[in-house]
Amino acid sequence: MTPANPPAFATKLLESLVPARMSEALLGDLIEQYEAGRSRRWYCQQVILALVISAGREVRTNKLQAVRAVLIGYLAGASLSYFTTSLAGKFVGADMAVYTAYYVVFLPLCFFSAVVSGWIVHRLRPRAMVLVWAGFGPRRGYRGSCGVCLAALV
Amino acid sequence: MSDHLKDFELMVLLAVLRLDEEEAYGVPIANQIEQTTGRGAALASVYAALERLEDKGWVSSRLGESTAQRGGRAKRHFRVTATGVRRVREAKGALVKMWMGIRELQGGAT
Repeated sequence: MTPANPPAFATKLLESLVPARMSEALLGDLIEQYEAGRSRRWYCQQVILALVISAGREVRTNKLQAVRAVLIGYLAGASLSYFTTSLAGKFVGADMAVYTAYYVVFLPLCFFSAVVSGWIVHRLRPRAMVLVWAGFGPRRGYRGSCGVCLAALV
Repeated sequence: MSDHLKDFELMVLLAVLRLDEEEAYGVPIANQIEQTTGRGAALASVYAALERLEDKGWVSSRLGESTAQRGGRAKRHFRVTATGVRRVREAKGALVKMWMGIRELQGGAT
């Protein structure tokens, strides 16, 4: 059975990151289809596709702003990640297992850095540049991209 | 901006032309493409194509009334402009010209 309301996270992400010209009518259509019996999975797939299309459009139409977003995001994320993990390295005891230190201390710090870098890029206009930054940077992987998108909701 | 009419944009234009203006919004346009061509059309792709077509001046849009069934969001109704209709005719003419005289395509349905 389909729950009464569509996924709020996906809706908020679409509202925050896709220009209103496209997102308003699209969200209305998605909600209409969801009410007609489409699944949460279908709803989320449509939102992800809209985010990807919007990011591609931003890159094509605002090349300079896209480069700026990637540079600023990279500088903010990398420097913060370097600073926090270096600082944490001084406090992590030698008796802590390598994997424990990685999953409990360093990975959350890298995720936090990704969120902050996304937040900084989100402050710049247009907001959809967060998507460009989230899609860029293969070194961060999907966790980093999720962190960057999360920043749009903060 | 490129004046080139892409395959999917042509399908969207034809779908809008097939529908009355009251019906020509995202969901029916996507359904029309799916029913006619058997090719799935994601709503986001349809809106992206419509946005490009509107930027080129080949379709125009207006906001309808918002309804509770749509979470309080208005429908965006589309119609093809005179320039858009002319562009569709030109595309058809070009395709028909390309079609004619090809031996492999004559005399059969496939």
